[in-house]
Amino acid sequence: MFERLDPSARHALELAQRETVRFHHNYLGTEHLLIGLTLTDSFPARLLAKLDCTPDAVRSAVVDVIGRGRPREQLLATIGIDLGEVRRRAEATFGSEAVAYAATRALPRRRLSPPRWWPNCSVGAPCESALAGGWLGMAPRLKKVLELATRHAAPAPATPTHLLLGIVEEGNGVACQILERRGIKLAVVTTAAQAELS
Amino acid sequence: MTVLADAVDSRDPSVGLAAVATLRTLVEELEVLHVENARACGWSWQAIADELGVTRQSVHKKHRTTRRRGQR
Repeated sequence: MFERLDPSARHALELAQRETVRFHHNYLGTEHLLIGLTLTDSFPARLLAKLDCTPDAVRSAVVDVIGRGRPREQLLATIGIDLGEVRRRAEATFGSEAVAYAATRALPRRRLSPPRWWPNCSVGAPCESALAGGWLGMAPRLKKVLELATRHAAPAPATPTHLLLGIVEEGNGVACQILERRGIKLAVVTTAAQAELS
Repeated sequence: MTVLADAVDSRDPSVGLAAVATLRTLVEELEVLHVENARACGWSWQAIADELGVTRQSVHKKHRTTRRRGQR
């Protein structure tokens, strides 16, 4: 199933997942994927750089549009729970490997669960579950983007370019809002990506 | 940590609700850890369900795919 994304597309998703930790967001959305794409060494990164969409420019646009989340430690502290202490005790009792496993088993709400074909494992990078690394819920639009990208690429695995094409084709995600806010016409991106693929 | 906590107005619904959602995630993860441990100790689903205060069917439905300790 993982074969539906090529290694660099997978890498873009891993980078996207790391961005969610930076913003303390509890879902993985198209905006994070857009940042992930700008960080890879691929056609979308070069195209976006040419359109003045650097990683930092997209990051600050994400803060403008979505804002930052609050760290889990801080949220739980407001109701009197010391997450650090809970984590310490859990790891002391069961070991850090078991804690990491538990995080992957505590699945997000159904609406945020990954697409059906997704492998039952974390994309790779540690991300924000309460205790350790684990699933981040995928926003519905990101799921759509992944479906579009893999469908276009089939039977070959989807490349980062397919992911970018998926983002603009889906057309309503936060990533597209950000592109439009930065004065980029989605049609321009589509044309350039399709030219690259053909 | 206390300083951070004090800095947040806990009457703000967005903080309170997000805290509850995070707590729910934490509870789910702890439940997985302890169910896994109980199964590794040879507990039956019925015994686990009794302690969790739910039915045997529901605990089995939720955790049957949880690995046994030592499996990968």
